Amino acid sequence: MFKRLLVTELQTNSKFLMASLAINIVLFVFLGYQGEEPYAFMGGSLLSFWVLLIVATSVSGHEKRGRLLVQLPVTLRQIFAAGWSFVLIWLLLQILAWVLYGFVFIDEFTTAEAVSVINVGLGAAVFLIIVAIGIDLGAYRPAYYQWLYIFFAAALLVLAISADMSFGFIANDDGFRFFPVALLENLPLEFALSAAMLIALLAIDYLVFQNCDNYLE
Amino acid sequence: MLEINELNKNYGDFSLGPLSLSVEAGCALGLVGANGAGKTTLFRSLMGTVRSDSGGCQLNGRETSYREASWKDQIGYVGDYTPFFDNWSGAKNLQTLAKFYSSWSESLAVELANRLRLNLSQKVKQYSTGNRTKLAIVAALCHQPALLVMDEPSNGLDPVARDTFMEILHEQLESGETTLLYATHHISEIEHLADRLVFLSEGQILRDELKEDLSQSWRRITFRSESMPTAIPHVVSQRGEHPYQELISDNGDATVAALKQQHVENIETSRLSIEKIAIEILKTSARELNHV
Repeated sequence: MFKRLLVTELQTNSKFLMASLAINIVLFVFLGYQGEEPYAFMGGSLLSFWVLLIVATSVSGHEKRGRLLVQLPVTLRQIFAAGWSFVLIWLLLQILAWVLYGFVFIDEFTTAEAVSVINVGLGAAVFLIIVAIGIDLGAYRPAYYQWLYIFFAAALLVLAISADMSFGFIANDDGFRFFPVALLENLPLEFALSAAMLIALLAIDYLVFQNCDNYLE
Repeated sequence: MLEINELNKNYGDFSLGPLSLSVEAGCALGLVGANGAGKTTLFRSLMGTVRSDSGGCQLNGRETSYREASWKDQIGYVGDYTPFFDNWSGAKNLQTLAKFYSSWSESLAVELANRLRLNLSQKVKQYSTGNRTKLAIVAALCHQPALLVMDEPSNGLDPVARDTFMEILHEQLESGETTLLYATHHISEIEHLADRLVFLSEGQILRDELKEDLSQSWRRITFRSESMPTAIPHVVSQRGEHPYQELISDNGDATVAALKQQHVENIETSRLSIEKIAIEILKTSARELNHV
């Protein structure tokens, strides 16, 4: 059933995937034509754009899809796993494309820079899950759970910005690191912590999703 | 066989149950209640789309747990609004749903769509409310479920489509293998369909009776009397102007016998339609609640 759900996710998002692929190709060609070292913004600009786009599309589609799928003979775990598998596979493909691009077309593209690109992807995924938890909390009653969450998430963002920390999808000259591990200046550790955070947040979102009520409201 | 055991769900001010109900295989059960009585919450709890606070349901001996899913293979559900993939055609939606069910019949889908005059090649987002409901009906019936759960399923259907839908439901029930739970405010829809009626009020079962028993026992009783006799049993409501009196009784025989004991003459009785009985039951419940 998981496989069928994943195929359904791919089918329902096929137009979005095609558009994403087309824009990626255009960007790759553009960067190749420019002949500049693009990695200062390749993770930042592209991932931020797509992360925001996927969030925008998922907010409207997320609930409807959930309401339909939950009636089928599938478990909540399968629905959750298929939804996130689709998003993470899509992000992974983007990251791999950029890493491949770096190794093939950019002079002196090192493994460290590849890890940095991967960390950007992890940062984008973490950002996406933070947003998804907020959306899933919307199904809880009373509504202040969601507002409380949004308040703390926004407060964290303001704190991070005031402390001059960088977010995964915001690039700067030093590369693209994910908050709150960007200050470690240790790419493997940053990778490990971001991955751990990703898994922890996925687990939290699963708990939130699993205990959601009112799928049909 | 469907067993609902001490099911309880609380939403702020509203509380469903604890509620227990047993529905034999092949039974058509009509669920009747005022707005907010708990019909939809009961169905959603049954479908696992709303988590009950305590108690649970068993379908053919299997717990309807959210951790398991195979029991949903045996349920066809039509809600007052059924979500679909709006950018796809009706046909593509059905093809996708078919992959999830073990006994989906493609030919039945086409047959039902034709009977309901549903254009499957049209995108769902272009469907009217009625056509969306038709698609939900087709989707609910095509996997030949053992249990049909229908919550206001005729919403938006035109009179012809509603009639066809009722025909289809009757055919489904003829086999004696399909159990039907049908909630509606249009009692006429279940008047011929249901074997049994459950009346819900404020999340509790008010009455649970065979339709035949209701028809047999409820009576409108009219008589001429200078004063309204006192202590008449089973009177649900009374009205009339002196000297003509009218009683609605949930046990016509007992009420008539009591009237005769008080030497009331010129007693006439008539049967009540199921719709009228349902309205009387719900009105009585509302009066009692207001009184409390």
